[in-house]
Amino acid sequence: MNLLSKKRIAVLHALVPFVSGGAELHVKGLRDALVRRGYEAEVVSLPFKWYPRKSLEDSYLMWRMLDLTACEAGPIDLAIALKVPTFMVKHPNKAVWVMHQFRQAYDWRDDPAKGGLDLTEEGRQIIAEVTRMDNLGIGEARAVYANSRNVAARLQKYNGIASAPLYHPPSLVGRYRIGEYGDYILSVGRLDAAKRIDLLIRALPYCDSHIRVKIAGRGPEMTALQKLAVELGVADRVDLLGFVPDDDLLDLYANALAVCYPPLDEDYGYVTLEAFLSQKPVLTCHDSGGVLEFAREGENAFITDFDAAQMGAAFDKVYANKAMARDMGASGYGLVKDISWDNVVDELTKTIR
Amino acid sequence: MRIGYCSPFNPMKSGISDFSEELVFALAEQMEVVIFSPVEVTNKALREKFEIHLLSDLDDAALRGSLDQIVYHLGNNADMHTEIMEMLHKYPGVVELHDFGMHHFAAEYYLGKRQDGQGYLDLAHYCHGERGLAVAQAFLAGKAPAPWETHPLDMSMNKRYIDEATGIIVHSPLLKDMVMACRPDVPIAVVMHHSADLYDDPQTLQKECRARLGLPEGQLIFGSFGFAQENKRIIPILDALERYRKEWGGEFRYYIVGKPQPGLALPQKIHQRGLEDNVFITGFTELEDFKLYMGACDFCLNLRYPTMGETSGSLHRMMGMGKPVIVTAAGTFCDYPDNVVLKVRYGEQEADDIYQAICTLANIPLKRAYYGEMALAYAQEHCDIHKNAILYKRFFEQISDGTWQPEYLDRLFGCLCELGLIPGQENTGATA
Repeated sequence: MNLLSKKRIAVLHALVPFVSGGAELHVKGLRDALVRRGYEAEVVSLPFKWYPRKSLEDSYLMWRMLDLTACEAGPIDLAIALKVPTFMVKHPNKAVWVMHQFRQAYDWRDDPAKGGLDLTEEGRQIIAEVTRMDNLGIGEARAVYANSRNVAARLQKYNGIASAPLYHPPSLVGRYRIGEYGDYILSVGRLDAAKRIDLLIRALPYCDSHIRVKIAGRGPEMTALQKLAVELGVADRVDLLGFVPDDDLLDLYANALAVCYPPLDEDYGYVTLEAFLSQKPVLTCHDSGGVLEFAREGENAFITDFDAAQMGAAFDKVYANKAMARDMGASGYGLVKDISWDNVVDELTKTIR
Repeated sequence: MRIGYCSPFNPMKSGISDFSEELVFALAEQMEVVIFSPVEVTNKALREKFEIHLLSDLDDAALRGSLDQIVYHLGNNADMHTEIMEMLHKYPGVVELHDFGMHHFAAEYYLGKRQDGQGYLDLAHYCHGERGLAVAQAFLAGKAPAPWETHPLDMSMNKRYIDEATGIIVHSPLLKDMVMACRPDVPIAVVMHHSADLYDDPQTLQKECRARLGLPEGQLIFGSFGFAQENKRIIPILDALERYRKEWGGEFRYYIVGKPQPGLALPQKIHQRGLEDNVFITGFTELEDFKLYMGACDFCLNLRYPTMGETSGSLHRMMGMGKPVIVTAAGTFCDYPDNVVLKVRYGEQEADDIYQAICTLANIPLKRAYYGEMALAYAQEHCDIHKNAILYKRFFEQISDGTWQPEYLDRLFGCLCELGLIPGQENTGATA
């Protein structure tokens, strides 16, 4: 593909100012993969804020009013929307790859901690509004994908829109490696309540006292986790590492005994893939959503209820049989090693090839 | 620019026939106009000036191919517009929408002409979703009154025609908003209903008209025009006149110029109110006499409720004659500035509002003169048929070469409609 014939692709992103996480990695990963494949790709971002209601509506409206059919350089051949409310953009060749919906209006609608929209009249109006707008924006796309089966099922359930799951690799794909099977269980991710990282700490009293947990990541739950470790008398077995640079993170994965990842109804979850690419077994819960698309009980993972004693028992199993942990990690690796950006790019660019 | 102009023409008796027979002459100053009529055109002047075809000739591909645009005039009457709508379905083009509410048309077409209840239900579903379908089903099952009476604008049954159009022309800003709420991205233009004749000297016109009709020069005369059916609010007007006569005396004449709706029993109503010496019913008149009576008036009443979102050709004719006009504060009448027409509310206070408005115009000559001048100025600015012809030409050209662009506020409004962020105008297709 020479420069003159390069197709132009806009990757649409709604960013939450001063917050960076999996969504940003996802968008960057897609953009880089498109460029590697010879496309001219650009991330187009607008800030997103969902409260008060007028801000939510403004965000949807801003995307609707954007003209991304062309730029000064010429026509934009494809627009890929990944996240609410970028779906709303009008483009004759729009692909939607749903990474994030506005979950407050969907599966979190009953949860007071998430806004509890279904609990008030205005909230119900917001739910109806968001659903209607999402149905319009996603429904008019030429192709609809979801970043996991879990997200696809949610889209079908709440919006009645069919989509194909399309998996993508984590950002450091190609650099994960296998090291020792040490004495620590690893947790990676933003420290917020939905990730339920407290389960790792709560599990420690129920397992071999030689087992430690290392928790990589920052977030609003940091202080609460520190207090919890002290309260349970396991502070000396818990390492709250905060932000960890990529190279250190790779080391942490490489030398972990296992990775514990017990979020509540995760959309997709890079951590599962990162664990398997590092050939580590995953310890998770029955209600962890997208994680379960890869985690298979006894084969590459132990899956428990959200229960400290059960998770502690899972810690013991891998600690007591490291050879088994190695085999399970290898099994996980076999499952995800072929998840690649190439496949993602092939799918998303079908309409311009 | 060569356009195909599809409309009823006389001898089909319709306001749209009269409208078109005036407009095509002005359009012909700007473009080549080929007339397509459902029946043989009888107007001699048209026959002499224009290439005229029966509507069915549009099936001729070569003839169609010779046209840059086809414009279809649609109104809420299946006797006049059935074949036009069917041609629109076959050969999409620009639609000039004379009525927003098309439910009468749909009911007459499907339930009357075609005896096709399922077709009616399908259209209700297409236009108004599940809720519209439920209303239509209840009506067909005899469990609910006619939806065009209970939901005159909510259940407008026009979406299919709007969706089939390559562009829409409407006669009022309100209708533009309503169409955009239905299809936000449609190319659309507002061309105000023309005033066929603009008179620079209303006083002389009035004298001449009265002389020709043998009406006294000095007496107060006012009137209502067109088919005198219930929605023209004749009964509340009579109530107001009964009161006016009691309080101010009987030195006035009120003319009802048009065929009265039989069920209204107007002669009895007039008698009951003691207005036999003041109220006169002309019955149907030809256009010339219609205009004479209008020209003879000191002011006119042009009330309408409920409304189907239609615009009023009579109103613009009145304004072009420099007549002060009392209108209902509803539908497209709300588009007119308050210093151009006098607006009365519908509802419980309707007769009282009409009475007050009549008092204003009848008893205060300066007010009467003011509203007359403002009406004429408005008509000259917005309703000049020759200026309108230029607007039509520009719109047809923009549609043809793909350069039509919405104005910024229209684009914003269109997006808000699409997202359903305007209360009552959610584009769900289920507003019934």
